[in-house]
Amino acid sequence: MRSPASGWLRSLVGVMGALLLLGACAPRSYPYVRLNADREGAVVAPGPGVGRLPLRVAVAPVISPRVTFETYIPLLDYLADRLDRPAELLQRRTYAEINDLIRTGQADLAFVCGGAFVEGEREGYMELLAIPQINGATTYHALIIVPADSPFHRLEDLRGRRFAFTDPLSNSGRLYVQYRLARMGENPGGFFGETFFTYSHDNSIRAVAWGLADGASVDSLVYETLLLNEPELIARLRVIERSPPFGVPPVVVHPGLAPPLKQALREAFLTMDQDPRGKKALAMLRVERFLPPDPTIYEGIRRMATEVRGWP
Amino acid sequence: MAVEKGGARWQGERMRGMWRRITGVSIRYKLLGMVLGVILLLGLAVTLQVQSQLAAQLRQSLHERGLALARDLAEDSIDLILTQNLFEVHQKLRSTLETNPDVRYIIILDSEGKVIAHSFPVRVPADLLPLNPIPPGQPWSVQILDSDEGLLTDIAFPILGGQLGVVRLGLSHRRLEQAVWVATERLIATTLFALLVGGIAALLLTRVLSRPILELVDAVRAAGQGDLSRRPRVWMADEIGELTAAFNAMMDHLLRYQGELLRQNRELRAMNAVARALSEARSLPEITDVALRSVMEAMGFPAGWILLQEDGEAAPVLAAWHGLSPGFAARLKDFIPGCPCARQIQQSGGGIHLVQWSSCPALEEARRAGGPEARFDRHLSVALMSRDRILGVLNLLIPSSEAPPEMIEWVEAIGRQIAVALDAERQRQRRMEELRQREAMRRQLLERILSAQEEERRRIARELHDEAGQALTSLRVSLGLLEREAHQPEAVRARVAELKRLTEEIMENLHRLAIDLRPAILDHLGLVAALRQYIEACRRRYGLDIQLETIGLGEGRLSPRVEIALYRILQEALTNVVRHAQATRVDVLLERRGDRIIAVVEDNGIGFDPERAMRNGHLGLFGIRERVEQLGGTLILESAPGSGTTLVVEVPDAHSDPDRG
Repeated sequence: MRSPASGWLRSLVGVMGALLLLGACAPRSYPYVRLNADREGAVVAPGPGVGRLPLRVAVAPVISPRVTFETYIPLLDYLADRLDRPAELLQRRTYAEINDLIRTGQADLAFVCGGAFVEGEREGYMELLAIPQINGATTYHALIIVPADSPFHRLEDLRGRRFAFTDPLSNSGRLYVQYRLARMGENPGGFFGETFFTYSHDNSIRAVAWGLADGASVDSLVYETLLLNEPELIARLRVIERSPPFGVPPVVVHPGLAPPLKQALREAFLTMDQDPRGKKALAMLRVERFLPPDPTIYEGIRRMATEVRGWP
Repeated sequence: MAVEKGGARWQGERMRGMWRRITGVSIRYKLLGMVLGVILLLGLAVTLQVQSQLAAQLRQSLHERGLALARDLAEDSIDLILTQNLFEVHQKLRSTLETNPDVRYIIILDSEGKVIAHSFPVRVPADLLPLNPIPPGQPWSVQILDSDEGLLTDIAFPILGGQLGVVRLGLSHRRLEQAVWVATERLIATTLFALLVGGIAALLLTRVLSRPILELVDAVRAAGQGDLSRRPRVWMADEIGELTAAFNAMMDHLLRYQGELLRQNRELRAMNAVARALSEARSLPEITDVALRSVMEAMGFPAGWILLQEDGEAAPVLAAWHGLSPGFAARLKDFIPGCPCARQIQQSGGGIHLVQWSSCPALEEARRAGGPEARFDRHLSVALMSRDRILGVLNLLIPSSEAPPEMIEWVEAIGRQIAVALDAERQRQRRMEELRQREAMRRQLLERILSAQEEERRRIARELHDEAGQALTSLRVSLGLLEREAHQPEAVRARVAELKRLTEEIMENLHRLAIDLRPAILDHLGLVAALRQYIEACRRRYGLDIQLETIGLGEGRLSPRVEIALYRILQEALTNVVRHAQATRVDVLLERRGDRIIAVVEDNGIGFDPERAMRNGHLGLFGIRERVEQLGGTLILESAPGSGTTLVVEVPDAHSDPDRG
């Protein structure tokens, strides 16, 4: 029950407050919008509109999507220029999804890991288009790293520890360690206390540097790039094992890709080092040039995969 | 124009009137108004300040929170967008929206402005999309929008530097405004509460503060209307307290001065009444009567009497009385010769005395006899003094209550005033007496002069008859004889010789007569020569040794008036010496000192009492004095029986005749 006095008081307070608010707000005017007009307005845009069919370039998440995006944009620009059609970058969370893009024809070409390539090659939906030459070689290594202050010096020391894998299909990020353990008569589930996937090499490096994992196996190319770009991150790590050389991650296409496009693409890659824009794109990728494919350099990976994945 | 002017004047007067009405409000309400005004102003200022501050801070924090959310969203959605994970993007929007109640909407646009994801139920409002573009060079953009749901802060944050698009985050101001509103409401409620408490406190305070002032004002107003007795209380030892104390002190002084003034006024009125009464009185009895009545009337004495003291040792006499019963007045006359109050005043040489009934025989008797005067147990005895002489006593009966001392002082002053009037009256009477005497003397002198003239004529007639007639008879007889003896040469010769002797004798007698009447030499040779001749004649006639000495008179002549007057004065003086002094030697000195002439006649005769001689109307002396006074000079007569007489006359040598000038 409210007394008349309190009502009077409230109305007085109301008037005063209104005056104050009015004084504070009145003089400014802002653009007006109708938030509750459902009938008009925009909806989520459908896929790319009609126009020239873009060249769809898929990149496996060797490194994080954002760095990938920044790194590959000049290459895409170069390809778009060379092929005279727009280029679109496709990224997915896992190597398997990238493999699927090639397998189902949703991507025209893809940068994949050697481990993923031998998988696609075995299943018949991937063939090599070109391979990059890095530091004068077409090979790289898997590096097993631990934190710099870690007491472990060998892979065997990491028994029962937490270990970070990159991707189920990754060569350096998983296959090599699986192979090494198989040789020791072990498997990752039995040997390590715990394992998890980071879905990119730089994530694995960061996981070890931040102490999330006691060890990880990473791509030496990514490692070296980070050594240049983030030396303080690398300074917190120690490499305890370096694998024999493996074939670098290649550029692949679906074997059924239209031959003229395949030819044009191969040409574009192989002559990239002779084009100024191509050089810029190469520099971004830290690749000296692209070479014609040499399937033999993936023999080591094929062998390991055969043994580890139980291929016939 | 005139109307406008009139209007302006009217306005001005109205303003002044209002100002008067505002400033004329009691100090109590002024203080109250001041306190309430300050509280209100303070409350309003604090409310406004807090409100604007709070609003600004909340808006700032909303802005920052929104920016952080947008940045996180932009950051988090990079990988999702790059990996085409739109479902995840949508999930992120939903979770952000759910965990942040202020977030009204989130839209993610691609680099071409197409919507990738949004939080609206169906569509993104068409008005919203074109708003808040990020200006080139800016890291983000914030824009406040008005909407059908109130104000919104729209934040646009680029994804991957804008390469992947923009996050648009809308934050509703509703909660912010609610918070501001709640704070404002509380502040206003607090202010109103403070107004209530402050008002009560101010009322009490102003009561405390204004009460002394109002009391003071009342007292001042009362004082203005003549009531000087009000003394406001000093409540506090502050300025008002000091003012009150000062006011009280001032009122005390004022009261005292007023009392004094009133008393002085009363006394002055009394003195004035006495003086007026005295100035109208014409005789001693009237003066005493009027003085007594007016003193009693003016100063409120019920009864009194005046004793007058004649010269010397004579007993005082009852000169006037008033308010006394006839019996007391009659007894008073008997008691006066032995009255102690007059004696006491004589002994103390004046002043004022309070005489108890026991020291006053008259009062004592009245008490004993049970007369009406028995109710007075004492009386004031005031000397009536003028020029240090006690002329009388003013006695005033006092009833039971004692006379205030300052009144005694004033009674004394009035006593002096009465005495001065008495003195003046007495002097006037004495002068009148003197005048009357002198007039009588003058009449006597005139008679004497007339009789002297007769005498002189008789003497001249006798002398002419006795001497000249006798000689002329002898001369006629001798001539007859000569006629008869004409033929006897011897006899003729002898007879002629006798005739010649007779003729010479007649001539000498005539000459003496002439000189006595008026010496011709005075006209021709002046005073000194005439005096010499006269003195020589006296010497010869009366055988007196008379010496004349003159100093500084030389050849110069005095004015004829002075010469004849001095001649007559000296002639009269010498005649007096010859007639009365029985002197053997007289020295006469005539000297000029400046423009004054001094004549001295000194004899070694028997002397006399000059005053008595004057009073008894000795005509010779009176004539001398008349002549000296006519010339404007002075006469000194020094003499005593048996020791000679010296008469000194000093007169101015006025060349012009003052009688005619």
